[in-house]
Amino acid sequence: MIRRRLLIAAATLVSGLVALALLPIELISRAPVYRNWLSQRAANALRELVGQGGTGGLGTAARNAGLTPDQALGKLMSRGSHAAFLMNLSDRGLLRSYLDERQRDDFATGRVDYLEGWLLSETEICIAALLGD
Amino acid sequence: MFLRADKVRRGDTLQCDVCIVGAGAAGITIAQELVDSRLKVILLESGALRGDAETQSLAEGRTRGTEQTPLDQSRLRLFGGTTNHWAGICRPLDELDFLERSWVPDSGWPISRQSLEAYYRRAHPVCDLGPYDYGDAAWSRNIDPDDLFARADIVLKLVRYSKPTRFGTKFRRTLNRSNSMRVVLNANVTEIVPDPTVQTVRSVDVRTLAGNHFSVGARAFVIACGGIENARLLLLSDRFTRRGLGNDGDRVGRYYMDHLGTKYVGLMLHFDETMVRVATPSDYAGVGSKIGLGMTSEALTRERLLNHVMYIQQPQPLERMKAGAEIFGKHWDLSSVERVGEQTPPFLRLLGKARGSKLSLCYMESEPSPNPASRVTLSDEIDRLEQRKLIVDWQLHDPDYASISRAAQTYAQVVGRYGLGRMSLVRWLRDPKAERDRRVFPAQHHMGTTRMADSPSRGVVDSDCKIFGLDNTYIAGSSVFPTTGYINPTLTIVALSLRLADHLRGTL
Repeated sequence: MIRRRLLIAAATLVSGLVALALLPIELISRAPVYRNWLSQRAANALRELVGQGGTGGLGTAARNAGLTPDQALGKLMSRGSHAAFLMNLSDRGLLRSYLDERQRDDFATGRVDYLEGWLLSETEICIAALLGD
Repeated sequence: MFLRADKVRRGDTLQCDVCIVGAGAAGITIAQELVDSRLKVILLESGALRGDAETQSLAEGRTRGTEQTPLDQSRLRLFGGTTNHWAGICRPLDELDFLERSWVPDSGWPISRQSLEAYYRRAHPVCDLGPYDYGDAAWSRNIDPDDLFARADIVLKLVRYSKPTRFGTKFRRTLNRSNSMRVVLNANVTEIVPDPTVQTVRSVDVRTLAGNHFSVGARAFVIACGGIENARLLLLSDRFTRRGLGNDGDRVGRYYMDHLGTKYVGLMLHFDETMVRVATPSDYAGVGSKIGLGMTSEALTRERLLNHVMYIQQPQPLERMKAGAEIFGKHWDLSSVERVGEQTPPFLRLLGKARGSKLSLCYMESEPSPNPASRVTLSDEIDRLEQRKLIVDWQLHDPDYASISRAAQTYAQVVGRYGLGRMSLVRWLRDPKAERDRRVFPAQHHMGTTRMADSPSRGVVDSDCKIFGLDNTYIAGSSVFPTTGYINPTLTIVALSLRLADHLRGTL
């Protein structure tokens, strides 16, 4: 009987570890994990823009909703060329006006969702996911 | 002339042309309009010039259904009635409120907004509201110079504050000086007595808590006891009709309504000063005012929404909001305030175009849809005058909640779309599955229980506020409202009362 219980416990433990290993690291790690240099570059530029205050829990909320930093970057770059996006990252003023325009466009086209109760643009949610808390 | 009911000889029948039952906003408005007419008027008031607990206890009753304020707290029994503690918020109903709307069951008044316009104007000085102006004035251009709201199908609603006028105090001297007016205090009307054919009311029975009783006979009677007490008195008057007076169509007491207060819709983070200007109360032509956001008739029709207004409170620090929300936590949904991390607004603001740091609470008032199952009935409990007490069962339709939710989401969209800021919404407003969280706050505006209609099968009074089937008895007050709009009822009560006074002067 005892051996049977041990076997069940071991099997549960192994299956748990396997499941954990299969989960993307981005959804497990407390800090954002960037799988490519562009994600890191974008996060740096955005962090510079919003300052050191963090996202007030929105980053975790976005990640809990299943949005990884790389997926967020993918969405952010989905409108327009990569080159244009890189250009925007290089200049604070350019980046701000680019984000303003995107946010307006998000609201106008219904690309919005609730995060922690706030109705936010897809752009804001992606930035939160990219930056973490 | 004022007199106390205990001074009237027991068993007497006082005679007059017009007997008004109830000295609140409606009853006093009609009485003071008739002061200079040739009509002899008796105004009967349950209370005295000052309130007393014994009389106030007659307002007790039971509540059921949606949470309500206890009935002996929301109403006052003394000269001046509930205007002795009203907030003074005034605005006429919108034109849409009078129309039959396919998406609002049992909607539509038998009179138009236009037909009340002249009476709304006359109601303004009665309520000390300054110039009659709710239109496209300078204040509107100051707040929204770019016509941004118009582009979003949103209208700014100017709401005026009465002092608030205490009707008892304001009109006491006028009524006392008049030779044609007798105001009888401590006079509780316990029954309306028609002739046996139930076509004409002969008299009303009056009792006092001290044990006196007498009658008042008149050529015309006006029942003006308040939004739910009017229905109670008709139901109690069952000497010749088992269902009560004016109740052949089983409409008396049904369609009970109150405004749906949503405290809170959520928070607004301001990206610029536009919404701060909306939130800032100001004096307009010497009268206090505030501004709410509403939707155009076209938008309400297109979206099939109930009429409503959203108010934005003046910005205040987050900590003060939290403290305020805790004090009133029983009725306020705290979730939106509690979910605001200290860094959330800074993050959103830095992404936004502005550098401000202002946060406001938002709340909404909405009309309910008329519901025949929402009703006032009589219980088996007896009050000190041996009258059956009230049961008020406030029932709401699911679409009422859904309308508030969709409206709140629309405002959140507009605020984001036009770069004015961001809004957070409490859970039940953003998630249709969160039914258990939904909560509305009773505004204590009792309406609809003797509704105005074009036929007795649809209501209790006709377009002159005369009870169907009775040729000399009228009802004044918010109980005649078939639908309520979103705004506090007093200005419309006064306008309808002025109209009824004109009718009485013209027909008697």
